[in-house]
Amino acid sequence: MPVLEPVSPLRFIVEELPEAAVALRAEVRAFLAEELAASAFIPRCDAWLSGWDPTFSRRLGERGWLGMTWPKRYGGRERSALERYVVVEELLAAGAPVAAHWIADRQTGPLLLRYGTEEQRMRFLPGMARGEIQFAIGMSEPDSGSDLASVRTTAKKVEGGWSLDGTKVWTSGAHLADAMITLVRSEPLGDDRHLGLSQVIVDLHGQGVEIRPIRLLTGEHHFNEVVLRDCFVPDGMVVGALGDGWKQVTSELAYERSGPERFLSTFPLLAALSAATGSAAVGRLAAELWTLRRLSLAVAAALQRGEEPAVEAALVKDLGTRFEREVTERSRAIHGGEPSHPLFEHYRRSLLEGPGFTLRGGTNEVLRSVVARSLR
Amino acid sequence: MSEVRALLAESAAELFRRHCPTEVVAKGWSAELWQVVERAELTEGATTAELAEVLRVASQYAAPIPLGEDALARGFLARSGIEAPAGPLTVGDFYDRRAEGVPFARIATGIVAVGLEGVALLRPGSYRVSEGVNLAGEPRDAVEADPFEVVPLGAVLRRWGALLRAVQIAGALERVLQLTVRQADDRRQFGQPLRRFQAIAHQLAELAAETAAARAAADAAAEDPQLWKIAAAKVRCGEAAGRAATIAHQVHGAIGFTDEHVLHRFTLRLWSWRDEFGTEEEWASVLGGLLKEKLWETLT
Repeated sequence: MPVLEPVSPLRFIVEELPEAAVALRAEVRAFLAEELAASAFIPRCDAWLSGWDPTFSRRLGERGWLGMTWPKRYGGRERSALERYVVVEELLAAGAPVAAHWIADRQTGPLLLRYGTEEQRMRFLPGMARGEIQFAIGMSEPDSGSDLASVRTTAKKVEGGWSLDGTKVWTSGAHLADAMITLVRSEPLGDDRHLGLSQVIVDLHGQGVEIRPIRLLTGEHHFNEVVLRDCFVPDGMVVGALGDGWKQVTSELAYERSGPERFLSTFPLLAALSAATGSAAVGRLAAELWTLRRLSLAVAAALQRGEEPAVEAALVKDLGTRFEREVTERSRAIHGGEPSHPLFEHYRRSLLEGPGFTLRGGTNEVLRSVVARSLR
Repeated sequence: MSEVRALLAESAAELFRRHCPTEVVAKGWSAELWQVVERAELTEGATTAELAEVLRVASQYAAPIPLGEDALARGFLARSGIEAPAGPLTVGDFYDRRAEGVPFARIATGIVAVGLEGVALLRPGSYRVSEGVNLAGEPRDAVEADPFEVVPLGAVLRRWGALLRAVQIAGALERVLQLTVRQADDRRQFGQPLRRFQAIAHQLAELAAETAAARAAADAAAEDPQLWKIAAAKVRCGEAAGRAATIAHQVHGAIGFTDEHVLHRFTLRLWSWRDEFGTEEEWASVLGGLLKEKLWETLT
């Protein structure tokens, strides 16, 4: 008799938000209400990438909401990843300008905690937690997008450090940030192209760095091309082990891909839609958002437990970014693309920034391949 | 997920693997399976979330028994102070003395009639059954009862039925994903397994995402069955059911829509369950109306 064998589904284990998160959420909401009352920012879609406001970041730093999970000796507050999640999702839902500290708080800080030297941590982390030191990420190159291991920027050993040559592109905020965590080839290409890559910190105000704007189709300037010519990086600015860059970069991906910014980029538009109509179309979007948040929280909990939920993170980002664009499309039923409609500005930003949602941090096609490979 | 629920799911999986092979599924109702499940007492004193765990696993095996309906019936009886007889019981939405689409009414030991005024327990002999089936061939009977008295109770079957079907959809999807991944591994064309083709791999990824989303939504609603969460879960699971069935059949090719293949035991249920106790559109409308200005506050 044909027997059905037990299934082994993907595991997304949600943990309840800690008690402290309730009070924390109320604090963040009160802060945001004050900021809005003072017109300190205008809520915008996709503000986590385009809303660069160092003074806002510093105000968050004063409240202890940057580097929240880091040890106190590095300026952190030693709070849990789920508490940080609460702060981050409230800021995103409000469309607050969080871009200036985004990379440092989400990614570079945790990377330095994991792989950085004591000197690097002392030098950068406290400033990041105050919202005073901003980072950019130098991964993609003109000929290396999804195929990141093909990067050609080289680091050659010189007296006391390394000399970098090459070009990075799509570097968000490089024209405003202080430093760039940069993936380079530090050893010649061998049989295994994942070997011989390293991560180094480039001082964006230093010699040998040229930053050119790449304007988006909106005309706005977030992206840059960063050209490195005989750019000197001291030995002390190599992050982690030489040649381990690939391993280090891929370990960042679960942090980069599963956060609430992967489904809340168009939330201000959805909130406005919901308030305006309460229709079935909004009900469907709300159901999706609720589900995504559960999945994303499960990944956050897994990260907190020290697991590496790379596949789960890829799945969340694929679903989440498609949802963000669905919100944009569905909104048309309300505003009809009419420029004088109150929702039009949210729509315009969501639509015109939209192509980036399903590209940045790993294209949806790459993500789906990651998920498919894991299925048994 | 708590330790208890994980263990419960494991025990349930072992039970259904042994006692619910595809031959039993094909019968449409199995008194033997019902007895085995009753004896195992898996749902004895279970919380809603624990019950959902067992029901989800039962749906991974398309178990042809009204386990969820029996649990709902017992819940309504307990709240009305009516003593419950031995099962399997079922539930029906009664308008006056008639109910349509009552699951497994023909074999039930009693029907809990849920109506506008309250709840009543109907015993065989006090009602007449006209047999009907849903798309999957599951018994969905019309019932006409003799006049009966109700215990006044504000009870809404549709709400709890929607939660039940959402949970069942999540379980059936887990099976559909497994069957489809296996098919993509085993079936070779152009000299390689189907899953090597990127077009197929991406379909599998999408199927996995729909499955994970449905599971997350159903679990969340079962853990805290507020109306808006049940609405959201039925919407999301219903959407997943349709998308997943399409992908599964596409990847399976022609064999997947033959009678001999097991896939339709699950896809036909998905197509039935997404409509039963309210479609996505109906629940989305409820949800949209509930949230309005309170979208973010409610979700968090």
